[in-house]
Amino acid sequence: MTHARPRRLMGAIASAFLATVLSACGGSDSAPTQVRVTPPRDTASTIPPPFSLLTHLGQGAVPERYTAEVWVRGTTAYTTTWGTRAGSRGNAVKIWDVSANQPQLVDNVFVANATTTGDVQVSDDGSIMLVAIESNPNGGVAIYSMANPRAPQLLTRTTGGEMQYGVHTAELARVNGVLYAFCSIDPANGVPARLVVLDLSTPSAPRTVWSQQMGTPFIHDVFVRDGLLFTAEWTDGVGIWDIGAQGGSVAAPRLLGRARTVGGQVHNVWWVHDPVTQSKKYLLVGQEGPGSIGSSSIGDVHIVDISNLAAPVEVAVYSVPGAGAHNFSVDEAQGFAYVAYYNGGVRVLDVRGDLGSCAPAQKTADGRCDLTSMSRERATYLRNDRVPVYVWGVHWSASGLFASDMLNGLWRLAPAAR
Amino acid sequence: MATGLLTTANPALLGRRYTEGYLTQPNLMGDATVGPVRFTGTLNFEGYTLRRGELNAGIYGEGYVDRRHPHTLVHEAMLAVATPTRAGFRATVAGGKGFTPYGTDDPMMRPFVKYPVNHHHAQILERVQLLGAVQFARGDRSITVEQGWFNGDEPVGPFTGPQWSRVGDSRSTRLTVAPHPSLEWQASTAFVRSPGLTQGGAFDHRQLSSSLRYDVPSKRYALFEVARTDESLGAQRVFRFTSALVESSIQHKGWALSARAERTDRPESARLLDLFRIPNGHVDFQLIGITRWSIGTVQLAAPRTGIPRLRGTHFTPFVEVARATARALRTPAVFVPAEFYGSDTQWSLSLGARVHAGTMRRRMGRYVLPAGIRSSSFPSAHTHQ
Repeated sequence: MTHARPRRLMGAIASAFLATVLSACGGSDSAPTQVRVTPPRDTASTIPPPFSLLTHLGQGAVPERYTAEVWVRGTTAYTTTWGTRAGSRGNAVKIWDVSANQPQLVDNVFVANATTTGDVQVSDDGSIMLVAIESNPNGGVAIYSMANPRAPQLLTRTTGGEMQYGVHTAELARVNGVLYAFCSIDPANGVPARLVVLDLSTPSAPRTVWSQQMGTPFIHDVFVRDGLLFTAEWTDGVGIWDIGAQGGSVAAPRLLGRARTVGGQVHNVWWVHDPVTQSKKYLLVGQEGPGSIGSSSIGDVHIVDISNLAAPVEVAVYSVPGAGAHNFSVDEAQGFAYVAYYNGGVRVLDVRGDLGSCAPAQKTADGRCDLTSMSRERATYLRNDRVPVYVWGVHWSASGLFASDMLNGLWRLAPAAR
Repeated sequence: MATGLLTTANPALLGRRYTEGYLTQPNLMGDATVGPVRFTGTLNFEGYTLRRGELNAGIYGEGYVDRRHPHTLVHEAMLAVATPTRAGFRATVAGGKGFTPYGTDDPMMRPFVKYPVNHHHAQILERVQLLGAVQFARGDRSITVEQGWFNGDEPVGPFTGPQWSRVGDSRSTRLTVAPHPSLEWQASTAFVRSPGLTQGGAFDHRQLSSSLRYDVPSKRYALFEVARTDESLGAQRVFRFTSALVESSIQHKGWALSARAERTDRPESARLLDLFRIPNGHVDFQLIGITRWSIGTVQLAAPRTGIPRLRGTHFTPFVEVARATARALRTPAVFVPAEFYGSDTQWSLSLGARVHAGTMRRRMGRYVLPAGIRSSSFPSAHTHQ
């Protein structure tokens, strides 16, 4: 994509560089800026509008470990670590002061017997932090008190049981006032993948309320909202479960439907609520194809219309040649989805409006709308050609936009704006 | 047979030298032939003596990496039945657990104590299988075609059994041409379903192997082999790993000098708390890199000697030196060999002695009853002692 527009790209890089310099000149305490992007032109044009480069604001370097997920609350960011880098294991959760553009490392929390801490989240009330732990047989979750958000205190670290095979992701969600952890458990030889839901009413003593074999062969993530649970079940697609919306419960979910996306390999899900259009009809589904971490990846973003929960249908797709999607974060007020795209950096998609209607020239060979042809790709971020990136996660919130780069650490970027 | 071994590897990982001792390759082998029926059995006790694995730069498989994994207790238990030979043709049907008709001989029956990296590219073993073969022989020349159906899942431990429900989900075919008693060429292909996840759903392997073997027992031996493994999802090839290996041995007055050169690509996975272990089973379709291993190995073995008061038992001391270099094929790599090991070059020195009693097999994993006078599959004196 960048090769097709070298002149525009050079201009954009120059703009980004200038913005970076200006930002730096403004001092480290300057507020995060926003990048203005061209207003959506929806479906009419087959010529992509000039897209922007997200502005780099700062970096928290992590040279000794590979960085995994990122979560931000207020002026504190948390990044997890992955695998083994020159002997240093992914057993650390790094705590950053992000009150300024340049993230400052405050502390490390080390998780016992972890080789990867692949997921981290702070509860909506800020009281606890949940960390997912791999690998078999030391998998589990660690739960921390966040009385001091810069100094988490361990409440419990689970061992053994169904989670010992490795917790790939752990999502915190509140259903009917109760805080739960939805844990996607890795398969092992002879042990199928499963979803385990923990009741965290007493965070120091999590209680399993539902455990279900799930995913062929993997379950990698879930998304919970408004009493619905969406499960990313790889070859089995997306499961849509009622956990409170229509009489179901977390302890006894009811399967409402299943979305199959082209190519399967369903890795993660985001149910978009658009406060402007009031639309709740689209699921963003991440596909994680096979790749070599650090250098290559493959996989698309699939748009699924769930107007009928019992019969979801994929209506659109977004592809980046030579790169694959990983985790999402959506700025719903602006209608922008930030997609971690591994070696493709960060991609920003305009998800406002009708994503399932497009001109014939904007359709793929199998009839889905192509978001790129629809000019829905609004911005991108690659540090520069000389610094390879491998972006695992993105996190947008009122605190700003952050990206976790496995190779380089934590990036702070300027969010896109209309 | 068994081998007592002391190995020092420097660096084994993180710049550290490791020195360890083992009782490796402890096997009890038994073969019986009654008319057209033959039983081939091997019990392997590495599950008792080698649970931590054996230092072996570059090797991988079954959850071990840079340490060779222990084999399963029931290494082979194959029963073969053959038709009478008519006009040079003989058919064999065999069933049981053992080596599938794919690739080359098991490294255990070759001159070196350390396995080549390509073990999992060049052999598919310890599977429950049904094998059919036809051999046409004229004098001491033969052509053999073998076809096997087996379970794709790799063993997950030395004492675990196969997934019986998967028997037949994988297959291999081998063509062997022996134009001379000392010369053999084989080409083989295999489709192995989801070897990395017993319940299925992981990559399938499509494998190719070809080799030329020259073997004059107790005098000269040489093997050249190439092998390739494609990991695929359905019809889509995702990763390719290649291997080329040449090895040779010459014996003079009981002394055996052997040399091996190998270049093999290895998939890399995230390490566990024990840095010599990787997850036994996939959590997704990602690798963390592909490493190309180039390894040169030299072994000098002394003449075998009898052991006093143990009739029929022999003792063969040896010294083996290997130099391995590792290079990441894809960059930026998450697995950087020079960082992980502390150097991109590793040395290994092994001192040991093979002990065996009774009659040794020359080959391993060959279950076809010969149609002619060639008897390469039959038990006989070990070639490389």
